[in-house]
Amino acid sequence: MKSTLIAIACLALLAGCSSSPEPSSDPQVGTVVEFEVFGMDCPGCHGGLENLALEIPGVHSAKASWVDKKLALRVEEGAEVTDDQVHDAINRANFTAGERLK
Amino acid sequence: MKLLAVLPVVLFVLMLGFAAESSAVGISIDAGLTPPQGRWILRTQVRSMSRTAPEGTTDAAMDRIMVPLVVVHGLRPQLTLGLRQIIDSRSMTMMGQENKESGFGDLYVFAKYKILRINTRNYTLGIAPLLGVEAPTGSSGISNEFWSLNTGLFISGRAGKWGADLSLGYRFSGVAKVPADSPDPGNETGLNLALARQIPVGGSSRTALAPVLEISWASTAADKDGGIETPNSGESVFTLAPGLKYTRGDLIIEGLVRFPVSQDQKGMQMEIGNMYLLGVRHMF
Repeated sequence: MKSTLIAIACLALLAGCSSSPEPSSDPQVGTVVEFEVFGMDCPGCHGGLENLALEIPGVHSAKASWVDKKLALRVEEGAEVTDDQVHDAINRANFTAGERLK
Repeated sequence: MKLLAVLPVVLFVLMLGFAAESSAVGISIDAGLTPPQGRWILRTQVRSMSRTAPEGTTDAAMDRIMVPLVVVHGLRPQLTLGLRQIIDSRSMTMMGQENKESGFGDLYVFAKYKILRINTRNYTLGIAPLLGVEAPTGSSGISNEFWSLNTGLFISGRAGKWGADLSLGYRFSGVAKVPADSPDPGNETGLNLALARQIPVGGSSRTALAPVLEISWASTAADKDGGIETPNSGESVFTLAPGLKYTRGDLIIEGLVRFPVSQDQKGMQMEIGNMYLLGVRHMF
């Protein structure tokens, strides 16, 4: 029982130390593009998709929302991000892209 | 009892009606959707479980603490690889004598392959078979001392904030044994249905709470020695497990209590008691 309590305390400590930072979103930088995304079902889905979106050259920040079924990307000034690049990132995250909203 | 027997079938039919896929509804079973390419998932749990001899027989009892450490990686959008190492601690009491053993359990590696994933505005559906191998790498007294081949099929569905995961598993125990002439361990069949409802918390899409209900049936065939069933081996158990999952960004904290609704052990064996589970997973 003692070892159970120690293990639970360790887990709680780990949980307390971990937090998910909001993706950086400087409103002064670049333009925003938005896509519908289908297949996200909980907050845990955001990180994987955002990481893949950030691999697209020119993407400054990414924010996904499973509630709104959206992926918003802030694109650096002068950079060009194509729909195909975003669709590829969404597909690799095992989701499906819907319409481009912005 | 009749209602309980029918319940899993009804829920299964309902789940098919949902035609939706869940990303990781199950708590006690690693099920759900295949993760994004490049994503790492670290998961650990503390599982406290017990067994006791049937009333009026002996004073035999076993308490067990299991800590599985699981690493999962989305190698490709279709292909997920995983590894599980258990740290196991057992305390066995019989006729006033206590015997304790602890150490590493057997190493388990598995691959899950996505064969279907349909994402629509209203529902998601995913199907992924699993193949895994368990190697007798564990500590003496903890290891099964045989190789096992695990096969499984995950069918996951989502509709709105509801999710369901159905896991079917079959384990070929003892495909190779150490020593080779030891008795053949019984194969295992498992069926797990996990239902969950995501509830966004605090007006943020980054935090959610999900009540989860797992309904499980597991059956282990009797061991065999020279083709003859070994006495006092083999069992089947039907369990219910309500739980709660808290998700904040890439972090998930989960807990559940699993209790047996009905169980049938062949011969003289200890009965399964409740299991308490507390876990954490982090996705990178």
